[in-house]
Amino acid sequence: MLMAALSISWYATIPFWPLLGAVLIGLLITMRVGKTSAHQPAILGVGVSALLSVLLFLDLNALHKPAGGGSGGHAALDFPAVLVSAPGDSTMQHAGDAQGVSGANRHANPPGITHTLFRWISLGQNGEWIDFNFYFDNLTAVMMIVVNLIGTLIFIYASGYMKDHHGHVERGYERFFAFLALFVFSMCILVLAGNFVVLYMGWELVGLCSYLLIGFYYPKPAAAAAAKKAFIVNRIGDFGFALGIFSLYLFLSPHYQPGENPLDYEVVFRHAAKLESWQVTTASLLLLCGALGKSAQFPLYVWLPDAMEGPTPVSALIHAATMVTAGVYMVARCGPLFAYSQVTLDVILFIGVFGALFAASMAMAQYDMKRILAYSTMSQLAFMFAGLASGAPDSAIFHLYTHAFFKALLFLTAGSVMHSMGGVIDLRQFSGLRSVMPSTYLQCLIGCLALAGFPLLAGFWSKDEIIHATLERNQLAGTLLLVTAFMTAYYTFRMFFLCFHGPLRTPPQAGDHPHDSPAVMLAPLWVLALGAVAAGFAGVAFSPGDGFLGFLKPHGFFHHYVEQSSIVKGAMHGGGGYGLMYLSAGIAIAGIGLAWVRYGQAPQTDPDAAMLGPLWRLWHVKYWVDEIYEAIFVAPARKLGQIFFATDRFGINGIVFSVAWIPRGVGTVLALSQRGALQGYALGTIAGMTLLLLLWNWAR
Amino acid sequence: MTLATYPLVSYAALLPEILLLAAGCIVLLFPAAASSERSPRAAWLTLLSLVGAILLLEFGPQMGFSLDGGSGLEFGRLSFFVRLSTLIVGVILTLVLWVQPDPREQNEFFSMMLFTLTGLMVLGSATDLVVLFLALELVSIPTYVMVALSRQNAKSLEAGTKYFYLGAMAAAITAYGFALLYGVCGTASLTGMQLRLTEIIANPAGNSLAFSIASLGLLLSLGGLLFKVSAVPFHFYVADVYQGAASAVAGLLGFVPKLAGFAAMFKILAACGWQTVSGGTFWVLWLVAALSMTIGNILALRQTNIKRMLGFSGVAHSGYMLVGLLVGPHGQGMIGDGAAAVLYYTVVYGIANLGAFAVLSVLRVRGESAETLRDIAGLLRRQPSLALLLSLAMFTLLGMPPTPGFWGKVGLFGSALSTATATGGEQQYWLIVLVLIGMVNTAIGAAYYLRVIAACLLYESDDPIDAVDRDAPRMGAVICGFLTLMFMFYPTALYEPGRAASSELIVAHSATAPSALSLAGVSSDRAIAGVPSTEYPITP
Repeated sequence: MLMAALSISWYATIPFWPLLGAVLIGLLITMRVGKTSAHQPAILGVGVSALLSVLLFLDLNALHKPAGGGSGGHAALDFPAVLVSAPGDSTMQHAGDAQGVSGANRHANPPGITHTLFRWISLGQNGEWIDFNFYFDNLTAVMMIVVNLIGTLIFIYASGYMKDHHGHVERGYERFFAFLALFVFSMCILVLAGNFVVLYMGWELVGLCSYLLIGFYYPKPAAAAAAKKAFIVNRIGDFGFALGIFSLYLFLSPHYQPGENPLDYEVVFRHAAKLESWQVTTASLLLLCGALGKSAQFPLYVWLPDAMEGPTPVSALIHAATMVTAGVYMVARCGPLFAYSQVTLDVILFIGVFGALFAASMAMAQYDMKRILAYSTMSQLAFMFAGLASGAPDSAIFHLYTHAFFKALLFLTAGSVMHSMGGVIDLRQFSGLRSVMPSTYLQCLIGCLALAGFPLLAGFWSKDEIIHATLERNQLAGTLLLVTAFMTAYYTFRMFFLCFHGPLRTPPQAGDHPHDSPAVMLAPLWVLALGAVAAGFAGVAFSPGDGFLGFLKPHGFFHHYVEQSSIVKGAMHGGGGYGLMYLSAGIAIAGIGLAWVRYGQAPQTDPDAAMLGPLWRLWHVKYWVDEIYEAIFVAPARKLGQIFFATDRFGINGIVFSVAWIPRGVGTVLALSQRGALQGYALGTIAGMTLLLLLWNWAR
Repeated sequence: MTLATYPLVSYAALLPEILLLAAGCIVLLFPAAASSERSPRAAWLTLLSLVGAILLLEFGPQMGFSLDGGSGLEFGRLSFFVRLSTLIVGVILTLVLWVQPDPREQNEFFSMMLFTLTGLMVLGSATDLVVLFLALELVSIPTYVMVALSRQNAKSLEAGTKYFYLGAMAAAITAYGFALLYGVCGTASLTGMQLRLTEIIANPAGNSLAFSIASLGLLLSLGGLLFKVSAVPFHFYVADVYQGAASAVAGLLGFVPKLAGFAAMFKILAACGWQTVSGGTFWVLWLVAALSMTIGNILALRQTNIKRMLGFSGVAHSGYMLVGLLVGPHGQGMIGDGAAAVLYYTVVYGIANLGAFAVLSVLRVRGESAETLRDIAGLLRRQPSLALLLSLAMFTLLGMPPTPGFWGKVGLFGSALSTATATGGEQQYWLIVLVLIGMVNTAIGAAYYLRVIAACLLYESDDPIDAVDRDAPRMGAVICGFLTLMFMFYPTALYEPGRAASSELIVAHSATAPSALSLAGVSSDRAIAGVPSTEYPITP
């Protein structure tokens, strides 16, 4: 594969610029350069990575540009072939018929290239290695853009956010930026990984960084608890993930050719077809465990709402660019594996649809702005999983990409609100901020519209495609997603109206003069707002002549681009679906309208709470899931821990301490032989040699 | 084979050694006043010659220097491994020792160091008992001088004297062993010896006297060499010598004699076709390994003086390495066979040990060099970077995953276990027992390494600890730390050369190799094919 602009080695440096930034921050602090400039290396590092990511994206685009025209002019049936590395296709029928796949092109382009940085772990003398390698294809490029571009914007925002109104930096400013840069580095490793071991490394690094950042305000007990919760819940998922990798290694070991690196994506996907179905199901379900943890899906989602204890830019980073996208990415990347297990796809579909509805319902009854956004993230990620399970991974990745823009925007505007409200984020404590924070108001409006799926904004296109794919797969599932879309529009604007409309009220912490954020925070938000408006058009095919509005067909450039990767595309056809498009537009507008009717004036008493009664309360307490987990898992685990601790303290320690006396006692005796007299040493040496000779004579 | 049939040695291949030797002589001839505390010329010249030797070694072949053997020398991959690691560690040693010797004695000191390094490099290439013995002495004698010169007090003199007497005794034992081997084989060439010994061992009944003498010679040779690696029962000197010598010289003692001893033992055992690793020799080495680990660790456990502690811990590490030696170029551990693991471990241990001593060498408490646990308490507060380097070295010595010390132990024990499962027979169980002993010992060792880490990271002290304000020794410590980290994340850099080197140790067996010698049987598929060492496939 040729790279047009830069050699592949340059693209392989993408992860290391943020790492360099993090290291530089450490060095600068050691040299006492001053903490206030700690954001510069971080922003610079991620900025360079973002630039390289864009170049990578363009390079791959030029490479894969189909002959005979640009991206726009494709009819639904001749879009480029799905590039599947797995040869067998009989088991792909689950995802629909294969007519969208033109067999001739199937092996025309390799889906990607594996770039080895260095040989890493030798698995013995058969020439099998686990290399430190990266895998580049179009999916990688898209993810890199999302991670680094959004990351850069968030970093810039954070450099303003982490200062108070007088421009003084918060305590731990430099630590914050070093961790942020490390976070982006970890995510880049995760995305670029060329085999499952490097992937796992990135996976764990991301977990570690999230722990460090969520617990950034570690003196605060809630933050420390939230950090621990995120880490432990993720560990549970990662345990399954690790088992999944082990099982892949185990199941695939009879199929390797000599010289193949057993856990490289290419190799695994090439041999995936040879596995028996129970093997694929086992491995993919175990891998899925990891995805559920990282992407905060039922039942491992509980850490996500608590994760907002970290500073808001961290929440934005976790929710938009890094961390939660990892699970979706991994499942999409491993499409050639997951596609062989119908059971796993059914499980993913169930988790997706159920999770979407479940999270949306909890979001309906919260007052904490960031918490509402957190549940909406969970809900939107569940949409993506539903898309993945319905044979539309391109749409899922498309949604991931649009979602990154507007979710980052929403979190950061929430941060702006919190910043100007003196740290208060409870919607009952303030309202009517429209007049004092006009820019934030506008930005938040754009974000909310995009999230709600308002026509022509980013979220509209991608969500619509997922619903379409799910409807084709399963009528009920698709319908439930439509209901969720309505709820999404409703709770998003409930939040929006409660915050910005109605009479102006501010909490005492806000001081007497709340105002918009400084320019350094506003500027990146405008860029994100632009993305929230326009990003969706990347996935739209413009074909003139289809009449008014009809020219906007889903399935555009973006999809063609992503299809040139390892993902497995089912038979979801881009065309058609106008009816659905109008329907979901109508649903979004209806949701917003209903929210306006009920919350447009930001009433002091919640009308929903009164109307829905116990159901609302059930939502408000989040189905008591935290309490149930506490009772079923946490409390017994703690008890067990206490038992272990006691055993360790009184049983094992006692034994160990008594055993430890043995070597000491022997040592005291042996020390008699070390008294410094040369004659003694010589005698000992000769005696020892003699004894050895006697032993030899006896044993031979 | 007579001397007349030997080809002449290619001097071009010996250029690195010649350079070091010449530099050593020049340094010795410097006017005494030339070197001063301010500008240690001797150290500069030493450093330059070492770097030059590295360049010659690396690029020599490309510049057309022949690497063929000569009389008693062969420049293969084992030789390359030994020479390159010697030179690299030599560079670090020079930095660490930069200001150690008294300015008036710097010339002698550094020339001695160059001679000992030259000896080690020659030893790596030796294929002849005479050359081997000379090289061994060239390694040993300068180290006695260095120990005595390293500090200006009676303790270092005492240490040097003790080391010299005991070393001389060990050399005598080795020489006796070599003489017996020569006598029974009629040739000093290791390849020639191997042919003859294979014959003898193939038919012990017909050659019972020759067999006994050969075995005795082997055992005595090993006995003297075990002194070099300070294995029990030849370990008595370590604590006194390590304590008496300056820290930096003690660091040298952890690498140079150990590598010399193990390389020489490899050569001798390879000449015996590794077949004597059954029967009597197996049990002798087994016992020495077990005792070294156990006694070394137990004695180290009692020490509060870090230098003495590290001395005894060196005994224990020799014990671990002997497990690999016992397996020889057999077994498929993680790193490769036992010999590859030993080579890997020698370098890793040498660097970590040197790193620890380098840190100790710059630390001062009330003007005295820091030696005890009490002295280094609170190091983290006052010298954070040194404290972290010391902790890293300790973790590596402890074998904490994922430090290279851990990979080394995995390689050593893994190769033993895989050999054990492949062999069958009684020895299988005893190898497993030996590995178990090694593991218990690793746990015991953790206790005293962690004590050092705890002292410098957790505790506080009233006596303010200070560090000498010289860059060179610190630089040496940092390079040790860097190499440790490098081998942690990129262990292949060291595995591969080690594996390549160990492949040379399987000397072409004749097809008549007796099957009764169980351990040799393991590698029969590789060895019996009669493939000469270089044919052994190395993973790319």
